[in-house]
Amino acid sequence: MKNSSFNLHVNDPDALAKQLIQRAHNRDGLPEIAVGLGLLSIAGLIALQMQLEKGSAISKAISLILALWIPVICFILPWAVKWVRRKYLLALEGFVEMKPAARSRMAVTAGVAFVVAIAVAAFTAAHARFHSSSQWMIAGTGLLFALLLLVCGRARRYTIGGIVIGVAGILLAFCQLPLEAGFVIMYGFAGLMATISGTVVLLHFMGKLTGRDESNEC
Amino acid sequence: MNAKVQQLAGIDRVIHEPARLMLVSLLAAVQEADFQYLHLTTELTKGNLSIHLSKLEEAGYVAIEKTFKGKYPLTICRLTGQGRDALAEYKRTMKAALS
Repeated sequence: MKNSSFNLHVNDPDALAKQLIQRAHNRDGLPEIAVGLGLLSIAGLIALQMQLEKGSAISKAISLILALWIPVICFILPWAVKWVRRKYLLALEGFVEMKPAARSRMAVTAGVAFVVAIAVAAFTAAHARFHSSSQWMIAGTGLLFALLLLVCGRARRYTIGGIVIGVAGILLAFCQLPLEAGFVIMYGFAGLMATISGTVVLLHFMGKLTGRDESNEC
Repeated sequence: MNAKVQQLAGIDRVIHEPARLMLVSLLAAVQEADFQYLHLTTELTKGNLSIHLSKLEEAGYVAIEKTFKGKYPLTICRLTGQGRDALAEYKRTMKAALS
């Protein structure tokens, strides 16, 4: 028997189960690809808005879509990951049905999504009105991504990604770019990095499992 | 004999085995999972996993159902009420004995 799983949390069965589930969730790279595509879509929307005349009806519509899109993808992405796993990776990865999320947890998620939507809308409105050049916002976004990855990520690739994004945010802040351009590069870079990293992990994971199945058949 | 040690002597040996404890804990944290998921997640070999699941099924702690999702055959495992109670009792006993 392989004992590597026991090195996690032998003393606490609940913590052990939680860690095993978390590791299983991240092993195929799909969550990273989903987050990467989400970030790229945000970068795309900001880039589109940059092309439009400020204060125009379409620009305002894009701002509204952007404000709504961020909370929407928070709900769509986990569902999309689950759908892809069930549709294309079931034979390789196996099947798992998680317990339904508690109502309190759903309420917290919805609350956070609502606050994010309001914050994005308020920020966009304030920025359009005062034309402030807030370079620290770009650095702050990069450092926030870095912090999230360093705190929540439980793999070396997340730590490396977090450091790279944090440094990229600080460097971008020094470039004195317009805020929107800075955000496009920041979100685009983070999204591209996450998508590429997730794809590499997915290919490696699929290759490993396919190889294992073939050697079992021999 | 110390009362705590006596408590430990009566511990549920079906759950106490590390691989089975891992399986039961994992199944307690999800609604249901299939054999392949358990195999990849616990890193137990298929043979070992099969034996441990059979023992848990014999004890009435795990229910195993063979089914299909589309064209894929799945061996779905879920913790029974009895298994949930046994795990809770095991954790209580261990906590009391080790405190």
